[in-house]
Amino acid sequence: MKGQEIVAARNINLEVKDGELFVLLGPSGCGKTTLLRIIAGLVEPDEGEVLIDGKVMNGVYPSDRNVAMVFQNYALYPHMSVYDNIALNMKVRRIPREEVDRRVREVADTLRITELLNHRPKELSGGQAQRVALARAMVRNPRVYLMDEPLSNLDAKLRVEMRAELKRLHRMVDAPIIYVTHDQVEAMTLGDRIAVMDKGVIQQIGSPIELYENPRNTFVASFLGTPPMNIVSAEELVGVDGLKGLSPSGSLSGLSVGFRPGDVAIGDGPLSFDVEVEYAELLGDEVLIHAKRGSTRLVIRAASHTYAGQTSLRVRLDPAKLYWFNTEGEAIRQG
Amino acid sequence: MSRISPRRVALLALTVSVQLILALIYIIPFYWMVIKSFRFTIFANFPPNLLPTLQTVGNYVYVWHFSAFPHWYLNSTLIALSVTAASVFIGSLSGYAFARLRFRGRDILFYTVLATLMIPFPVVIIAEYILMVDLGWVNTYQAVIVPSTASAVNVFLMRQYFTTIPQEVEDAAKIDGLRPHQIFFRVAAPLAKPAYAASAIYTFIGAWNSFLWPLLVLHSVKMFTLPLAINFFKGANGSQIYWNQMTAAEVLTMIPTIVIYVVFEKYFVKGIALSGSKG
Repeated sequence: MKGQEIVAARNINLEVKDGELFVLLGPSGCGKTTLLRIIAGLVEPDEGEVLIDGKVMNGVYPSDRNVAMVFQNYALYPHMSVYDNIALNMKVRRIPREEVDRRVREVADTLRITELLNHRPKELSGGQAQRVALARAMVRNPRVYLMDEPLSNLDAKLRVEMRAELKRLHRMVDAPIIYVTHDQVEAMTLGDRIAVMDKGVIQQIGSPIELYENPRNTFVASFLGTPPMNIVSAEELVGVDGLKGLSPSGSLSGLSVGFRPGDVAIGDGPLSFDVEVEYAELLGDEVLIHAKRGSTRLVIRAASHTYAGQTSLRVRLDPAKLYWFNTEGEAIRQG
Repeated sequence: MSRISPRRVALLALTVSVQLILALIYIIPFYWMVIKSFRFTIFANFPPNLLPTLQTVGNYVYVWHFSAFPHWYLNSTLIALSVTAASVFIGSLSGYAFARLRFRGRDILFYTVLATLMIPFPVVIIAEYILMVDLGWVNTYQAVIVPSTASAVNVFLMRQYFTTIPQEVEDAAKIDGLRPHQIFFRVAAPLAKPAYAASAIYTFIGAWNSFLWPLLVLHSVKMFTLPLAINFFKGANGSQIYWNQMTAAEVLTMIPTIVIYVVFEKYFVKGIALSGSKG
């Protein structure tokens, strides 16, 4: 098989293929950055192996792994011009001056930073600095790209712009990109595949849509999607007509039931129950209703015109869009 | 219009007068030294005559032409520059190691180095002198230079600064193909310029003004540094002090430190700020 295999510690078995944008997604402190630094060679794993193109990389100096890394804080060399920041790697490798110049200008052109080449990093805006950091990675034509939360220091508008830019660049390069983020929207929009991590363990790997539709456990289910999936103890919904019949165990005890905010409709019918509205957020076309049933809180996404500010509502669940989880939080059966 | 209360005026007046008195205590001896160096009379009277008078530049001519002063100047310059270069270089290398490298016992070693700052120099002076005798270095330049090259202050100052350089920048350099020594010379050291400047200035001035140790290890007159040489303007047996010549020698001795202070003033402040930064 063409491509490479990257195996990391904590019984993690990850394989990233050529041309793939692979996202490591998880809350801060879940070990995703450590995993990236292990792949880069900045940290040596206590056990396990990192392989690139089938070759063991443990003990290999970072630059000899032929990986390029883009850091959250850009990590540009403050005392060098943008040009020298991009050219440093080639200068260290003693590539002829004309060749260095040609490649720097080429990548600067691709990233639209040609007019910044003589500037110092402190004169750049966040978005410009991130482009320079990308240029520094791309100019080397690396075997693997590693990106550590590259967009998280940018403001919201710029982040969306740079996301589009990254997608464009991704199509231009063959090398795989391993992308670390805690932002599930970034993961969903950019990733070909996503590995969701929590507490140093990979919870699930799959395409964005697989993870969204078939989360393996409550962590993945509640981490993907805005607002997150409602996960309530099934016992709280005792008395909801027809729910017991849908339970995979035929009983509601010890189970949790999950449903996405958009899969709850306002109105009566089978699987319906009453909720008390705490507050509503109007987003334009749609409204997010934060409601309560007993001690359970849930969020309902509805079309704005269907909600007229009532303080109590009758809502119904879609029987085809229910997720069941056992006491350990593992998914039992979908639908 | 806001009115300032009489209480605040009184307080301000008090503060200013205390500052003024303190400033005078520091400035008057310097002022007297400068005007004395331009006078004919060799005596120092009390109370001193503080009138600004310019009678002669003969004292300077005498000091420069009729003593070994240029040679002593050279000695001082050579020693101070060597001490500065060696001490700052070694201090920055070890400061970097303490800031960035991981090795067993690093912190204990660092605090041991720091602890040497607590030991007064006179405590080790005899041991150090015996060492110089054993090495056969008495009355040589290296006897003054070598012991000063290991400076805990410089190690500390440089370490503090290196810890403020983001780790990510050095990681980027590793990925860009720089080996650890190249990261030091091409990334960390250029970024630490303010710390280099601050410790170079402090070290230079310290070495230039150093008196006790050179006095012990330098015996022959031609090896003397300026602070030792000034002593020469006391007559035989110290019976008569030639105050006008001596003050001229002192003014000449002070010039480099004053020039350095004026040119690099901002680094002095920075140096103080640096050593007070996070540990």
